This record gives sequence, C-alpha cells and structure tokens, in this order.
Amino acid sequence: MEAHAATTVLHRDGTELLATARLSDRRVAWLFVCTGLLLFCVMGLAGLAMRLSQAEVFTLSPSWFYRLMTLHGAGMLVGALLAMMGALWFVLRTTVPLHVGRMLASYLAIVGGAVLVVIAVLLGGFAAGWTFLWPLPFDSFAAWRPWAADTFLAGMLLVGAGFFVFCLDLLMQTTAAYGGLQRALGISFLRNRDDSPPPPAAIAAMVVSIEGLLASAAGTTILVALIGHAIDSGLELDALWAKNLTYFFGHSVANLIIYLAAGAVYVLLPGYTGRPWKTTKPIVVAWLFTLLFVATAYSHHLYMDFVQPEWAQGFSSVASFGAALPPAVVTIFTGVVLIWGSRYRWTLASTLLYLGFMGWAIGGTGAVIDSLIPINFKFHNTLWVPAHFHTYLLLGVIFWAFALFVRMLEESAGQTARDGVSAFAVGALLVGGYGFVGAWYVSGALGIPRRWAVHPEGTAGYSLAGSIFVIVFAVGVLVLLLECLRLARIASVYRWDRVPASRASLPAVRDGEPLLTTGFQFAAVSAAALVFLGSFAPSITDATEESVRYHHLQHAAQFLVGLLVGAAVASMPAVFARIRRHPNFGIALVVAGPAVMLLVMLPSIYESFEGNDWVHLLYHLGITALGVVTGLAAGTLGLVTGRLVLVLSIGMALMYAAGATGG
Amino acid sequence: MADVKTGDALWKWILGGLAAGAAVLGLLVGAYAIGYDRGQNNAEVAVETQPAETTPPATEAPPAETTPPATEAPPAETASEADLVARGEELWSSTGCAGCHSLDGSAGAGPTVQGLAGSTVTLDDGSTVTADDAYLARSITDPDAQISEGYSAGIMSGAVASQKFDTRQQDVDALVAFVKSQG
Repeated sequence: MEAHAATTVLHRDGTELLATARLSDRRVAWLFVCTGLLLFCVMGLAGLAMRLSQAEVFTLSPSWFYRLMTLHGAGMLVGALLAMMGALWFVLRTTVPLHVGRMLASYLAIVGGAVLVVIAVLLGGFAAGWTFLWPLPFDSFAAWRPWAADTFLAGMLLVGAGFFVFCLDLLMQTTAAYGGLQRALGISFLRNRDDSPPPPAAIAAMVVSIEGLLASAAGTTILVALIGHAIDSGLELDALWAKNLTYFFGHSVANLIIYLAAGAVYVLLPGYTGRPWKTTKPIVVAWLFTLLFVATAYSHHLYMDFVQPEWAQGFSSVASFGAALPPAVVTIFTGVVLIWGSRYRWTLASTLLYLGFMGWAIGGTGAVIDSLIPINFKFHNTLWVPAHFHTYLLLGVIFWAFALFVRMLEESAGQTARDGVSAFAVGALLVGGYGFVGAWYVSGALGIPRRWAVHPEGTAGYSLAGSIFVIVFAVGVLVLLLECLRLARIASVYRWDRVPASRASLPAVRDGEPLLTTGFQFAAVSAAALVFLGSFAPSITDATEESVRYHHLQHAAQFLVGLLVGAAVASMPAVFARIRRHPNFGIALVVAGPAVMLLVMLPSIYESFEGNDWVHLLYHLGITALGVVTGLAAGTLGLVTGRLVLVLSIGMALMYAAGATGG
Repeated sequence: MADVKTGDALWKWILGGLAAGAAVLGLLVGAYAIGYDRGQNNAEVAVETQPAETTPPATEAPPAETTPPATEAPPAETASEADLVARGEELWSSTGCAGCHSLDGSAGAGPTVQGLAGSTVTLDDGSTVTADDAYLARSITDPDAQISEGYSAGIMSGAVASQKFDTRQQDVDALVAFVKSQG
C-alpha cells in the first residue's frame, strides 16, 4: 500500500511525510493548518466585502470598513502564522524533538488572542487597524469603546506570547538536536568544521526562532506600555519610539511567516523531485544574512517619518535588501534547480508548491521596488503596498499552506486530486489571484491611497475589476476545498491510517548546559551584580526622580541585578541539576516575569510609594525579585536560549525606559 | 571547567567576582562623591561670586547688600525659561507633535512652527490673527478653535484629546516656550 502511494502521490523516490510522522505530529499539523486555513477563508470574505464596498457595489459604512480592515489584517496574520508554524513544526519533528505540549500552549494563546481581537472588533467596534499605532487606539472619537482597545491590545499580547513560546521551544530543541548555536546555524559547516550540517529546514527554524524572540520581546514591550497607558493615562509614550517598536513586532512577525514557510518547503519539495534538498554554503550564508538584517528591516515602514534619524533610514534600506533577497534568491534558485530534470511529480499539491515560488519572487520584486526610498515616497501610502504583500502572502505562503494540506490528504487517501479539477482550481487561483493583485499594482502606481474606505472619485472601476478577480480566486478555493473533501472521504475509508503512524520515539538530544559554564563567567556575573546593586543607593533614587526615563532606567538596573543573581544561582551545579527538569515552568516564568516587571513600572503604582522610603525600597526589591525569578527560569532553558532570554529581558526593560516618557 | 561542573571552588570565583565588583563599585561611589561635592562646592562658589561678577563696575557703588536681589533675579529667570523650553522640547517629542509640525519650515500634516511665534497667521475663514502666547496656548488646548488656512479641523484635536492639555497648564506653557524658541 505504501509503495503504491509513493509512486502515485509522490515522486517514486519521494518519502511520505505521514510515514515518518507520529500520531501526535499528524494531529498537531492538522490542528494548525486547518485553523490557519479556516481563518484565511473567513478573513478572505471580509477582504472581499471591503473591495466590493470600494467598488461601490454596495455601501459599507466607513466605521464597518475600518473594523473589517482591522479584523482582516489581524486575522490573516494569525491564520498564516498558525498554518506555517504547524507546517514547519510538522516537517522538523522527525529530526528535532519539538514539544507537543508547548505547541498546544502556543496554539491556545494565539487562538485566545484572536478571539479577543474578534470581540474587540465586532462587539467593541475597535477599528484602529491591526497595527495599533499610538495614540490611535485611545483616540477613537467615540467610534469604539475604551474597553475595545484594551481587549484588542490584550489579544495581540497573547498572540505575541504564543509565538514567543513556539520560538523558545524551536530554539531550545534545535540547538540541542544539532549541538549548539554554531552547528545549528550551519556556521561550523561554513568554516569547514562540520561535515554533516543540519538540513536547510533546521537552519531556517533557527533564524525564525531567534528573530521571532526578538520581535515578540519588542511587541510585548510596546503592548504592555499601551496597556499601561490604558490603566494609567499619566503614562506618556514617545510616538516615534512607539512606531518603531510596533513595526519591529508587526513587520517582523509578518516577515517571519515567509521564512517559516520556506523552512517547510525545504522538506515538502523533495517529495516531488526525488532529490534531497541539501545544505550548501550559499544557503547557510543566505540565512545568516537574514539573521543579521531582518530585525532592522522593519524600519522601512518609517521612511516617511521625517523624525526618524537619517542613519536609521539608510541602514534600514540596506537591511531590507540584505534580509530579504539572499534567502529568496538562493531558495528559489536551488528549488528550481532541484526540480529541473527531476521528472517532477505534478500533482495539485506539488503545483501549488511550485507556484508559491512565483508568488514569492513577484511579490518580492514589488517589495524591492517599494524599498527604494525615492519610490517609497510615492508608493508607500498607495495600493502598491497591499499589492506586493498579498502577492507573496496569498500567492506564496497560502499556496504553500494549501500544498501541505492537500499533500497530507493525498497521502492519507493514497491518490492525488483529479487532474481536471486540479487544473481548474489552479487556473482560477492563478487568474483570480494575479488579477486581484494586478488591479492593486496598477491602482498603486496611479497613486490610489490604501487604507481608505472610500476611494477617489472615478477609480471604482479598479476596485470592481479587483473584486471580480477575488471572486474568481474564491471559486478556485471552493473547488480546491471540495476536492479536498473528496480526498478526505476516501481517507476516512482507511480510517485515516492508510499510512501507519510512526512509532519512533523522539530523536535523542544532548543534555542542556547551564547559563554559566566557567569560573570566570561566575566571577564576571557576580561583579556585575554587585556594581548594579549601586542602583539602590538613595542618592541615585533622588537623582532620577526628576526624569521618568532615568527613573525607569534605575528600575531596569535593579531588574538586571536580579537577572544576574538568578542566572548565577541557576547555574550552580546543585541547583541546575534540580531545575533543568522543569523547562515548562521556566518557559511560563520567562514569558510572565518581564511582562509583569513592565506592567508594575507604572507611575501611578510607584509614585504612590515614594512618600515612604521603606515601601519605595520594597517596590524596588520587588523589581529585583522579578529579575531573580526570570534569571532562574532562564536557567532551565539551556545555554543558548537561556542567555538570549536574559538579554531580551533586560532589553525589554531598557526599551521601556527609553520610550515611556511621562508620568 | 571541572571545578564549575562539580561545584568545587565555585565560591572562590564568586567571591573573587564580588571583590572585583566591590572595588569597581567603591571607585564609582568615590568618584561620584568627589564629583558631587565639587559640584556642590562649585555651585556655592558660583552663587557667592555671582553678585560680584554681575555688579556693574560703572555704577555708583551701590551698597553691597542691595546688589544681590537686583543681580540674582535675571539668572534665575533665565534658568527657569531654559527649563521651560527644555520641558517643552521633551513634550514636543513625547506627545508626538513632531509627527505633524516641523521645526525647519518643511510641510507636514500641520503648519510648521518655525517662525510661527509673533507672526501673523491667516485662518481658514480668511481672518488674521497674531500668534502671541494666548494664540499658541489656545492652539494646543483647543486646536479646533482657530484653524490655519489650508488645514482641517478635527485632526489635531483628535490626536491630542488623550493628552488633556486643558488640565496641564504648565505643560502648555512649556510647549509655548519651546515654540517661541523656534524663532
């Protein structure tokens, strides 16, 4: 039976994904991919409603237009994120012992966050856009209720926390599986010190996890600051700082979806080519470029903000190209070379996989054009921008999500989707998809603004053309889903276990190391903790009372004392031997610890203590205690992940000190 | 390495580190104390010497005891004005004013403040008004009251609603002082 499936569904030398997957792997993959695609379908309808309104087919009030725009943006982000998290997790589980419980915790947090977003938008009327730019959520002109903004922000915070947990597990387990940071990133291979580099999917996973942790930390900082303002309106934020952090989070997460998808494609494509996708030095170099630059690429969203320092604009331009082009060019080129002459097995799934490269390339080109600063000044607030990101998300990432979905069904059913139906579905998706984004590219080049409920007079024709193409695309999706339903029925005849689930245990990995591994590190950390203990000096407290920034900086130093102490204690052999068995506890605490630390840094809280020196001191000790807890918790996560968490935790405190300016 | 993994001799490293940290902290505290004292002393010296320095030599030798009030007041006022402008600059950045109003005369969502103070502003109803302190303050607390020609009502009032400037007179004064400092 398996041999039959392998020759009809895949390339004759291809390996079935399901054959190597444990039952839990399959269930998690189905859960994530189905939830992601369901969200995509629902949010797609919201998008169609907006286009039809702009086409003047029916009238959507501006209030509802902006609500749907907010919902569509947040929902699509979450949908694509979930689908691709599930995809990469699924294809990595044969080589990396990723944790099912953490993945489900991540799912619950993200879906819970999405539910809060839906409540905020549909019941509370929140319509500030999914980018929640300060101070818009709080200046609604009564268009939405204050609780709606709070609920939306809490929802996005949960989404960020869920992604943070996913990235933590990915980083911990991948570094453990491949023996440390340098090996897992392929750096040892690059330096000719490693003959068996990790597969490309693992390198992509490493980059995604590190950058995802950075982005989530930035997101937590800005979201907690915004929630802080909702609680205490005396807390003022620097507008430029807020926009930087918002896009650091939002852009990076959206960007990382593509890299999650690319990681999955590295495993999916060889099933149809019969050739493995090997790690080469160009692939490693390309991903290292992304690692280096993707965190700073976000600020191309601020080209039009004249208060952004010029050096940041210049750096952002370089980073945008440095982060995006190398992996796209190398992946697409090596992918096409892999297909060339391989007798590629064309099925519905493999066709979508192949066409996803096209979406990535064309959308990427649109992004490159928009990244040029002089052109960005003309295009950034036009429909060119949604055109390019819909090209690589809709016609790239979503195509790949459908490719995985269809492949799992085809393997379960033991047969491919019917040729005629596949051709019709793919044709409709291509014509509808490219017609839809094409109408936007033209509209953008003509200067039609984006994010406007009502378009300039005389331009409704473009929206109408776009809407018609969306409907064609939707027909393609419908036909594809109906064919999937047919495959599912066949699979159900086999009770979904036509390909028996693997009973292999999770791959074994090396034991994790403590945060501090040498005597000198212990000495350095002890010295630093004692030096920063100086932040408790009453004269420092007095000196910082005049400036909210300096006062928050003092709090950050006190938190750092705790982090250092916690890290040192966690690294002591006797302690480490006990706490290393509780990484789940550690994950929960490193997520909660820094967020609570930021949340209690509200002027209305600490100013009430300033009248009494002892209570004030206790408050400062509380900040340090949160640091100790976070440091101890980081000690359960292993050397690489734990150290990164320590850096991010103090980074969050410093970022907060830099941006929260009033009180 | 072995000592760390087994815990042997770990405390020696930690105590060594603490000693090094104590030394660095001691140096920092010492430097701070010396600098702080010198700053205090210098400030006292400056206060003591100010009257002598600022006493005009050409005056008809006014009594020494009457000089200080006359000469101390202007520096105090200058310092206060400088503080106000500094506070205004901080608010300018933190409350997002810079997002719409430029300081260099370039166009934005709102009018530039370069050369605004004291100039004659044309309003959207065609009338003109002098941009004095009262006008500037009202433009902050009630932005829609008088809209400059070429701009729309509702934009700034919406953006600053959460700031509640009408209850923050000192901050408004600081912002006005900062705008006036821009020429």
